[in-house]
Amino acid sequence: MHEVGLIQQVIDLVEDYAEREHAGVIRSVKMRVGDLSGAVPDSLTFAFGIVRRDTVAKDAELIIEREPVICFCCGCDKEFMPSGAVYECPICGTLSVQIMSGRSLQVVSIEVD
Amino acid sequence: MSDPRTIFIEEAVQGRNDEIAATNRQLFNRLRVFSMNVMSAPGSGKTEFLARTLTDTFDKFSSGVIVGDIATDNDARRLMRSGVDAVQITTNGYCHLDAEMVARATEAIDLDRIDMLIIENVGNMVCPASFDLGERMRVVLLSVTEGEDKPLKYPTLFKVADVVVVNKLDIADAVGFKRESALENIRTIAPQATIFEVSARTGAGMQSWYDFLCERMELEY
Repeated sequence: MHEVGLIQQVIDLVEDYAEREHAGVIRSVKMRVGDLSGAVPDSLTFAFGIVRRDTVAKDAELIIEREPVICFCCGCDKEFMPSGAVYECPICGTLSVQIMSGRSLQVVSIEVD
Repeated sequence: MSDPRTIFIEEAVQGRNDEIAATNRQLFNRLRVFSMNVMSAPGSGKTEFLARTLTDTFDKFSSGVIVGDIATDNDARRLMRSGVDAVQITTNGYCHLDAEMVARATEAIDLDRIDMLIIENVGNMVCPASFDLGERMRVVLLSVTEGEDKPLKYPTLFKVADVVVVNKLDIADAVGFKRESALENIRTIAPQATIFEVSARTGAGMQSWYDFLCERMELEY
């Protein structure tokens, strides 16, 4: 889903930070990508390889930390990680409507020289 | 060469969209405008559903519409026939609306004079799920011609829905629509959603949707 556009925003963001911090070279960019974010990690990596050219991130590695979906079951007062698209509590079987995480699409950090 | 160091950023990639969406949301709240983002596949009957809603609720509350399409302004013109202001966003290729497009379009609508703002998104079941526009409610439309397993195929979209509308009930038999299976799939993938089954063409089931809208608007404002 628009991974090239997303990566362009990532590059803009890290370039800003690198400039502010007077960093020379970006060695790596770490992202957190939720399973429900709509972004596909492989496509992000592919897009990164292209969009980073001629930028301060041109030699940087993209590190993606996947964020799984975690739900909360009100009945059991417990969090759980569903295995698929059906968010069924493994204890009581109720379908959860509370998604605690899994939607992130963030730049976490950069490693610079 | 200096030592390698880590700079922590922890910023959303879509931060700019989210900021504009938050501004939109604040504006709608301040002016007491109930906003909804209506999403579906192309051809589900979104525009017909909205045209009928606007015509039938004309005496109850006033509405404005923003419509997104890749090309033409056909939908805005069609919705204006219901007697409302409709602003067309022609994206020329962009396959979803974003918060900035909505912010610009709302400048052409007199928000002081409306109770409800309908945003008809570009027909697409993938990308709109991930772009906050600043709306209060998300409606996903599904027509009987699309098959019962649509929610299983597009879980990300169905999981952001506050409301799911099953449309074109009038031709359900003709296309062999398996109603129970569809409802089960919607309830399983989108347990958070309120479901309406309608025919925008005949008006069947639409009154429940209008009652729901009135209730929500009263609760909200």
